[in-house]
Amino acid sequence: MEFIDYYKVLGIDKKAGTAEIKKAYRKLARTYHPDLNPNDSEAERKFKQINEANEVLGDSEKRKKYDTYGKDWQHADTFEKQRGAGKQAGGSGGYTYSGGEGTDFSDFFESMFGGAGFRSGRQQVRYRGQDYNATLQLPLREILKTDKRTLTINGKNIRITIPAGIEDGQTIVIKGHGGEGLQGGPKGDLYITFSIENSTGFEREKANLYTSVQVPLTTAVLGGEILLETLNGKVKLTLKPETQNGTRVKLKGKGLPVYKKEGQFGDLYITYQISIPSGLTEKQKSLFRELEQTNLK
Amino acid sequence: MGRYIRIKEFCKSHEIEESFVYCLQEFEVIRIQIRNDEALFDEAELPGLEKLLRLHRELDINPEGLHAVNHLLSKLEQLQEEVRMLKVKINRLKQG
Repeated sequence: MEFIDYYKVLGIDKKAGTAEIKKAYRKLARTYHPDLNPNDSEAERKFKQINEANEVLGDSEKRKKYDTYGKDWQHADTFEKQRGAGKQAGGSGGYTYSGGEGTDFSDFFESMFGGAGFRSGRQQVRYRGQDYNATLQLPLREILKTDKRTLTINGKNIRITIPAGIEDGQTIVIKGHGGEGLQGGPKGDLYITFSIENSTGFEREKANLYTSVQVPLTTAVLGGEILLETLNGKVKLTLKPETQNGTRVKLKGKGLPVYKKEGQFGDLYITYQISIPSGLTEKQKSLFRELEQTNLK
Repeated sequence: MGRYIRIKEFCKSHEIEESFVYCLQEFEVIRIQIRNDEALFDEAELPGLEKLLRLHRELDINPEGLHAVNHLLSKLEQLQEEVRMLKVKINRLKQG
């Protein structure tokens, strides 16, 4: 167990006054506060250290004890007992401390001040634990229905429900699964951001899907049927005769599930792209010429 | 539809003036909705609001400062995410 120079931790002189200590503490706390340093364990460690330094130097009684024994802190208790016994004879007690909350201090602090039980009654500030952030990548096809998954975050297994229709970039919060609180504070939260990978050929806009489909010229002119592979299986599309290029049709309810609205689905929009045939045979060319003669427009 | 929290209740349980929340709304840090004459905010905004409240109390950061902090934290998160994605890509390229 090493001696900790709390003055050095706060970057102040041993003669520093209360105001100077407070100022130094606040300045460092602003730099290393867990809320300002997400996913930074080094900042969290540093924050605990400056918090501990403030706990000692910001309290006149603890500071006095710390200053008196300094590097001889291991003998502090013996000295205290001897001094306390002498004073009792004279009718005066030694240091008295009331109970407090759970603690997150160094071994040095615990050894010298007996941990949280050594509080002088000054209100202890509790700090909520750090929030954790994680990203979960999912293919678009896996958001078609609500699913449960077990994730391993910082060595702990967490079972989460992924609601159908979750958006790309959307974040869900799992309360109390972040870092441990400081000085008895509550745990932080876990933020899971979803990254939805889309390699389906369907463009997504919230719950609606968009795609374009190639239609043979003859089907567009004469009407007919084509098959389209959707995320939920094949769908037969019926084209009216003389369907124009760029015509858009809507298949109601064939889009993605609407987030957290059970039984509701978006729509699928299909744009027809009429393909101009290539590699025509002589006979086909001749038929087109015949068509041309009819002043077809 | 997500759940909504009454601003009055939030402020009472956190022992903070309602003006603090309205001030954050002015800076577009949170969105407040009025329903049946009651001011509410989406439950999803609760962790963010609690974080700002902690920063306000523990570090004496005023609402203007919280606005700046919030903005910079969002940027930080974006950058962290970008770094993470790039690392994944680099690893894929190394493996492939």
